[in-house]
Amino acid sequence: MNFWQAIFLGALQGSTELFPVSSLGHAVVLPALLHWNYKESDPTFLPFLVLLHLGTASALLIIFWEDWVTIASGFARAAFRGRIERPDERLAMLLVVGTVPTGAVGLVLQDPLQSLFANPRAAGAFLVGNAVILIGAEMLRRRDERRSGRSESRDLAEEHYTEISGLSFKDAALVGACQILALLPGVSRSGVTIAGGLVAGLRHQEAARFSFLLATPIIAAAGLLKVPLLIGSSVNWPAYLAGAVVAGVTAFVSAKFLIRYFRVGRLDPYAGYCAALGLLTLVLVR
Amino acid sequence: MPVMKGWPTVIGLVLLAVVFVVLAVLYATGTISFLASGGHKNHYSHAFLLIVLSVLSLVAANFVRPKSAS
Repeated sequence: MNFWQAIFLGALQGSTELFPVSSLGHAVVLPALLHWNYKESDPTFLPFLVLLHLGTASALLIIFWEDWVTIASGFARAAFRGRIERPDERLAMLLVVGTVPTGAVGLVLQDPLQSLFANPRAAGAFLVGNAVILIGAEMLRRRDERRSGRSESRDLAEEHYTEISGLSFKDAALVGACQILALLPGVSRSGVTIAGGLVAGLRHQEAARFSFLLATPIIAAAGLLKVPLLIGSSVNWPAYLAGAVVAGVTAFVSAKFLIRYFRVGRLDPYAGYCAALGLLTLVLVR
Repeated sequence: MPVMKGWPTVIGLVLLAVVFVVLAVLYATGTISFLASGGHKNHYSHAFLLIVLSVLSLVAANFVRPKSAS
């Protein structure tokens, strides 16, 4: 992998990890469409992926650092007291409920599922599936808005839905469990969790925020647990580190953009993009 | 005896935490490797997850522990 490919893949990972369009799907599909000759199964590619994840997780931690300080202290207080008394403690426990079962299932199923489906045609098909999930969630939301007679402006319509603090523990577990689907290359982690959040009654912006908070520990753990693999690796370090920095910067900009976008925006454009890329892959890649 | 209502659950969760710790040690030392893929001998990621589950079992035990009314 040369320097510019590393920069390109860093930008791709940083943006597609948070946009609801599947980073893994892009990592499988684009090299096939662009006829690049590196393989993800190459041993030198794993340290690169680790660095990209660390870059993305760092960006999320920087953006939400105040939330994470509150969440960590809230978790510690509630854990020692054995009772939830404050909203920050409840948010911490909602994230635990949403993250841990999925992390456990993911650790067991990640390798078998990704090796089974990590080919461009499967990823193309799952990208179309991702589009169906996104558009399905928006159709359910629109139906709910129509039934409730909410024909006012988008930001007023969003006011009728809840914040993360209004989520039940069952709903948090279900939204978190949606992440299991994202083990399939082409299904977006942020996409399915935002879609799950919408179905659970969250505002778009709150669904995106909950999605990013759920993603942070998983992305960080995916990177940190594999740091030992970096030691002694003889790889193109300047290119890999530059790719990681680009991934972090792109993730930072993407997260800021998406939080602002989902104040009134919907998932529809991303559903259209995923459907188009998935279909293009199915047609072009044999 | 209402005061004892939650104790069986508490004991079960503490035992579960102990089981998780034992499994974590076995995974970390490479003694067992079921549910783990790849050619590595030591599965530190599985061990880490099991330690997290152990801590959460203890937290859950603290939550269901019968508390005084104060």
